[in-house]
Amino acid sequence: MIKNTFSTLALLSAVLLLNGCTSSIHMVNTDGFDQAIPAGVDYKYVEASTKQHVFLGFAANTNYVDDARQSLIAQCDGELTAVSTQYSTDHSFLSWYNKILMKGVCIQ
Amino acid sequence: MIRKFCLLFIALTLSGCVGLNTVSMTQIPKDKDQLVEANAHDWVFLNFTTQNDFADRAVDNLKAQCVGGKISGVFTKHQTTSYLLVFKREVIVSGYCSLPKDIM
Repeated sequence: MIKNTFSTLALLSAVLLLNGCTSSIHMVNTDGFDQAIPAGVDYKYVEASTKQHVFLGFAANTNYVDDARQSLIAQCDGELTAVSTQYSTDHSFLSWYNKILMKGVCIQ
Repeated sequence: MIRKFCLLFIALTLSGCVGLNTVSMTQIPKDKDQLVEANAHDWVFLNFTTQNDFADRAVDNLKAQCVGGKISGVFTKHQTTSYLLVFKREVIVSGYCSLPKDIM
């Protein structure tokens, strides 16, 4: 009975680890609401996300953050307002993904 | 044996793993003419420190590059590189400097 319970728990833990089903959010930042969207002006929502695979904690740089920024700016010729930045991590077996998600409203 | 240990110790000491602490970005202007960038860092032994002045230095350095103008689209990244016993804390900031027409 105890052996079965232990096996079930071990199997469940292994499945959870291998599927990377745990996730944590580290920070969310929003800024740029001082620009009201004028009526009759074209605007669009833009979004960019990048991620970095980290194995056993070894990471050489944080360039994926700059890549997200460049990607967001490249999508907007006009003014980019209501910019939100989200930094999170998805865990997996012996490794994890650091993720950056940036969103904004592009006013042409 | 001792030689191998020394080599391993040196390799571990010199190689660092970088981790992101925070990142933020403010409203980005339409005119992206002049990009200004600044960064500052300090070294911490075993995580013992009594000050965070290096962050202010980064901001002051950025402002010094846009005297009389307005900086917008400010992108701020705070990261820490971990070495064997030492940590490098770093703040990297950049933004777009918009100068008044009469200055330009």
